[in-house]
Amino acid sequence: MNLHKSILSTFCLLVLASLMWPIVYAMWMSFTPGEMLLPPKGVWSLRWYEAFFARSEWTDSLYHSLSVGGLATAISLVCGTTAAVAVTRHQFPGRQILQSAVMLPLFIPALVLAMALLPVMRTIGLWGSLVSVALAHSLWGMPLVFQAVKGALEDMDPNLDLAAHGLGAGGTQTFFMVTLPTILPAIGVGGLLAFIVSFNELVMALFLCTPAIETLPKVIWPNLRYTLSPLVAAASGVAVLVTVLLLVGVWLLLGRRREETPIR
Amino acid sequence: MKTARQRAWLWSAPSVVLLLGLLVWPMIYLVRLSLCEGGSQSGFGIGGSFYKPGTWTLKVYATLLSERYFWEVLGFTVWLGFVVAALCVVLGYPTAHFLWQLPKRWKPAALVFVIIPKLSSLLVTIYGLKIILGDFGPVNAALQALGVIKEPLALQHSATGVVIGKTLLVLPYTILLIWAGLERLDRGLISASRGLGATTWQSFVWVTLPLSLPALAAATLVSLIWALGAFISPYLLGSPDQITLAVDVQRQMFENLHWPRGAGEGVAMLLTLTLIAGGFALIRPREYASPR
Repeated sequence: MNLHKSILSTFCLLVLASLMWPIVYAMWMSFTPGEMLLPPKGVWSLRWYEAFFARSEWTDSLYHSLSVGGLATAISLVCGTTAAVAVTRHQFPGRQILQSAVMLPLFIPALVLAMALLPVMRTIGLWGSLVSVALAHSLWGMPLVFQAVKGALEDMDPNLDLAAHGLGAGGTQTFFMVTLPTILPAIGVGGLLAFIVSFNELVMALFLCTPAIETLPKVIWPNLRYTLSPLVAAASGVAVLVTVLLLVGVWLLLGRRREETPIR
Repeated sequence: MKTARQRAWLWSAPSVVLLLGLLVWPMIYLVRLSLCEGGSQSGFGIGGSFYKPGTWTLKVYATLLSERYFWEVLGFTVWLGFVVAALCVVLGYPTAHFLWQLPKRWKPAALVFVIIPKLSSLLVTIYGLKIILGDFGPVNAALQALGVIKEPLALQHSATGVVIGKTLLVLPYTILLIWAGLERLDRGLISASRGLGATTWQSFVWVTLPLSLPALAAATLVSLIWALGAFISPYLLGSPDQITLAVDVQRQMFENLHWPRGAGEGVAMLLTLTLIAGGFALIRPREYASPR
């Protein structure tokens, strides 16, 4: 009996470990002092990170990725939050359809979306601009914000709104002074997730980026096919670092949300 | 004072505009593009025409349907989708069950473990995998040291590599969905079955498993959808002779510069997905609403 259980646990821990292994291995590799693809033993070095920040090709792409991420997050926040308010606070024909339609982009292969967006972006003249990539990424950011905010709105005590109304606040006033502050942590979580997804997204960037506006994953991409230099590991390290920092933000926001719960 | 209806429309406006402009229109454009004649392939970039606007033809579909190459690519795509989805469920269900039974204070840490690979760049995972699975990587080195094999196994540039890579990329989603489904389960039912004398195994087979079937079905479907769209792992870990539809779409767009064909293959991919997802929805178990 107990033997079964420990075998099963070991199996599951192995599965979990294999999920993390490639990332950890790539990170480890990025500190190698040599030219070879051998993980550092004893001597660790930051030379590949120095090389990363010394080349404008890489720093520019980092800057592009951050800009695209910021812009995509802004669009996702506006569209996702308003859609969440619409479906939780209002009754209207097409409410169900909107609810599923917002989630739909997550279930269409990235490649199909990207190739459909390419000719459209060319037609409306946005092709080759960071805006086009940001717009494409917001197709995925919006559902994430939508889910997070919808959850928070559903959890919110409806009496809060009623109380504000009873005290004489109008619809707009209630939203900005009561609803918005309550759902702010959820908006933050959704926004951070949208940023992370945009920051690491490759396929849409592959189709929509011109050489002048390449994002970090787009610059990493050809390197994976032809050369596996430790510089790529360092670039991946930078990407993982940004992601982890943002996840810490999510963590803190979720913690805040939980602390506030008893007050409700 | 605006009416309630007007206010509802106002709130939905931003998302509706975004969806119409970036989802509905591009999808219509995609179908339309697949019905155009291929353009003159006069170089890549602005000015080159990748299709002839305004033409109507079924040539792309006729070519695709009659071509062996296309069917081989489609076949490999569907095969990969089912293999990866099956692996994800087999590996993911026990793992999700294990995570579900962890003590509460361990769960956040476990969640981070599952979520980080999902959220950080897929390319980092692939980079790590390429080194690990390489001829001189730790896997081959360990197998050789143990004397299991003499020559390094071709773990990349082969179907094995694609399956390993794609499974690792999809697995976090599978685990999260099944885990979330299990968390919604009423634990009282399991205690009740134990109280009535069921062994751990019996209560799993007769209570937990049936109750988690809807989550399991949803997770399988999502894994399948993601696996069918496989692009990055077949491109970087696979062999050039065995490519998926997604890889071929990218080739048509950027190497052959035949946009209508790329669009036609995109449409074929969506149709395959819809067919499989639809078939799946028909056979999938419903929620156990009330005992009969």
